[in-house]
Amino acid sequence: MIFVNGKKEKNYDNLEELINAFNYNKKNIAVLVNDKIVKKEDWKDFKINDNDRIEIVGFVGGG
Amino acid sequence: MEFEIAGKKLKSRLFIGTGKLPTYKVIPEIIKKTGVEVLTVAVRRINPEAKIENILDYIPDNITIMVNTSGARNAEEAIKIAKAGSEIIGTKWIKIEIEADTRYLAPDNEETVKATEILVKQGFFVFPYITPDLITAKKLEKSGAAAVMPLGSFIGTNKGITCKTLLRPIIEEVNIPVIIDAGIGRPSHAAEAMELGADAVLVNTAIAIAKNPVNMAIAIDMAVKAGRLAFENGILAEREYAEPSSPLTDFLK
Repeated sequence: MIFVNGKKEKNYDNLEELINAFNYNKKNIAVLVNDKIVKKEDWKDFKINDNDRIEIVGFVGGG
Repeated sequence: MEFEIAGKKLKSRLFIGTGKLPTYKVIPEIIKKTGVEVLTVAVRRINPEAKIENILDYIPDNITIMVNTSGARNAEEAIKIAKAGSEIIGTKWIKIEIEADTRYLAPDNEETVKATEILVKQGFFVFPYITPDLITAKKLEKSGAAAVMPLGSFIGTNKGITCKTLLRPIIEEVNIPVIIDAGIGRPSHAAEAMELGADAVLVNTAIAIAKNPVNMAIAIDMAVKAGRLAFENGILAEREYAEPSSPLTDFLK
């Protein structure tokens, strides 16, 4: 079990798989695992552990 | 006339915030009609099922994107948001906005100085949003901020440049660009900020929730240009008594 944007989800082999499974637009996201940024080029090799907190953030309108 | 901020030569002294826009579709038209070169964006959780428009689809590559850390309550959170934002498209321009107060969205100057010091050391161009205070502005200058962004009045209040007596000393004493941010509710406020000697203004709400955001952006852009041109050409001091503008004649005596 992992947490994606605060919601419980099943685990995936690596970050890349998770991003693909959720159908994210990769152009406008950054991924933090337990508050640490994981760079795009590292998603493929980044293994997700049980109880990891994953935040997927992107740009929205803001002042 | 061109001016320089964070090593970048800019022509437009109007920076625009993209919050509260009815649709991102107006962004390209605003850019086209005003020549604006810097836009701010915020960082939020993105849920794929939400199917919201992707703001980046509407911002051309030649626009400088400034990441706003709004939502941060302290320096640590602001730094986290700044880095996440920078990771998305590699921009190094960060607007530090740290608010510990929800009614007035008053910036926390102390935490802002802290976050600025850290991010500057890590190679970011930092634009701190502050309550206008000369000493804070000087500390920010010393820590290497790219500019200071004191508020004209609180965010979204549309009250204009109510902090004039506190803004003037910052403009006079600080040697980095001063961008007046927040509170600008109409063109005359923008002109007033520029007449005061601000290097630029950042406007969001007044444009975003106008009946026609594109036209309001044009009006505010004109005011920014008018105010700047006046500032550069010698605005006269106020006088207590009348001074004739026509030469007085003596032949009627």
